[in-house]
Amino acid sequence: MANRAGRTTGTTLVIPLRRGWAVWCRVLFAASRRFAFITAPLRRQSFIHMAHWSIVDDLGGNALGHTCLYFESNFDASMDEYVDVFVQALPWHMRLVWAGGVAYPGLYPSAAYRDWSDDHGNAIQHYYGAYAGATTTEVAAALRVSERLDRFEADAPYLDDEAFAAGYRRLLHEVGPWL
Amino acid sequence: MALMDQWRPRPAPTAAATLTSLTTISPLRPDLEADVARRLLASLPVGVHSPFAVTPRTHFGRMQIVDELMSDRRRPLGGAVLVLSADVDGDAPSYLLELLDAAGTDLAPVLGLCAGAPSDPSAPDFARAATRYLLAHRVPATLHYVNTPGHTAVQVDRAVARHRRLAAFALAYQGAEPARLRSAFLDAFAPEAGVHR
Repeated sequence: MANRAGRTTGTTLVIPLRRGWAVWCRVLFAASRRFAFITAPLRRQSFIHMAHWSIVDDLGGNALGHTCLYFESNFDASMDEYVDVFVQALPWHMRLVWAGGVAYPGLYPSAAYRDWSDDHGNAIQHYYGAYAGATTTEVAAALRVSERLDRFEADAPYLDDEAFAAGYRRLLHEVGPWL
Repeated sequence: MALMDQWRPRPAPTAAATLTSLTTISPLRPDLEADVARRLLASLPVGVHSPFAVTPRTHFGRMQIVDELMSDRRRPLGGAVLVLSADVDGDAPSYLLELLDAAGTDLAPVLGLCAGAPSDPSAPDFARAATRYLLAHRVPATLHYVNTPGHTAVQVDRAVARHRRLAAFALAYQGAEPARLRSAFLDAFAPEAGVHR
C-alpha cells in the first residue's frame, strides 16, 4: 500500500468543520504550541512520529464551502489500530479536536468513528520515511541509548580491560530499559 | 517538578533543532484526469530511491492527488489538486531548493501535472522556479507535533542503527572476558568515531 513505508503509515484527512469550530481549534492549537502538558499524553502513547494540522478554507484555489481541518499523520501500525488506541487512551483529546467535524458520529462505538475517519481519508500515492523501519517507541529509545553510548564510546579506547568491562556493565545497566 | 515543567511556556526552538512541516497544495492542469496523475505518482521509485531520499533533511514525505471532499456526502472538488508534503529539517525554501535541485528529473513530471508550474528540469532556473511555485501554494501548519523533537533525520537514523547494533552486541557478548569484550566493542563501535586503540 502506498500509504505504508516500513512500519510507518501515513494518513491525510480533510474534515469540514461546523460553524465556529475553527475558532476553537485555533485557540486549542495556540495553547498546544505553548504548553507541553496538552500534547504530553500523545507523547506518552508513543504512537505518532509526526503530525500536523492546518485550518483551510480552500484546497489549491478550490473553495471548500466549509472551513476544514487538514490533518497529516505519520504513525505506527494500521489506521484501525491508530483509531482504537486514541479512542481508548485519549478520548477527550480526540473530542476536543474532532467533535466539531460535520457529521461527527461520536467516539463510541469506535467502529462508527473509524468509518467516519476512513471516509475523510485520502489515498496517498507516494510515501517516504527516512527511518520508517523503526517504530516511534524504538526511535525514542534509540535516542536515549545513543546519548549514553556516545559518552562511553569516547572513553572506551582509553580504558584498560577491567575498567572497560566495568564501564560496559554500567552502560548496559543504564540503557537496559531501552534495549 | 516534571508536572510543573509541562505548564511552563516552551522556549523558542533553536535553529539547530528546527523541524518544519511543509504542505503544498497545487491545482492540477484542467486538461488532466486525476487518475493519470495518480498513476504517475504511484510509478515513482520508493524507499531509498524515492525523490524525497535525495536529501538527508527529509523525515517523512508524501505526494497524493485529492479530487473529492467528504462532508455529509462525498462531492468532487472544483478541480483536482496535488499535495506535496514533508516534515523536514530546517526551513522550507532551502529544503525545496535542495530537493528540486537533486531530484529534478523525478519531480519535474510531477510539477508538470500542475497548472502553471515549471516542468523542464534542464532549464537553468528550474529548481528556483519550482521552489517559488510550491511556496506560493504552501498551506501553513497551525500546529505540528513531533514525538522526539530536537533531532535531525540523520541523527535519528544513526541512533536507530546504533541502538540495534548495541542490542545485538550485548546479546552476542554476554559473559565474554574483558579483553575480548573490549576488543570486540572497539571493532564494532569505535571506528565510527575515528578512535584508534
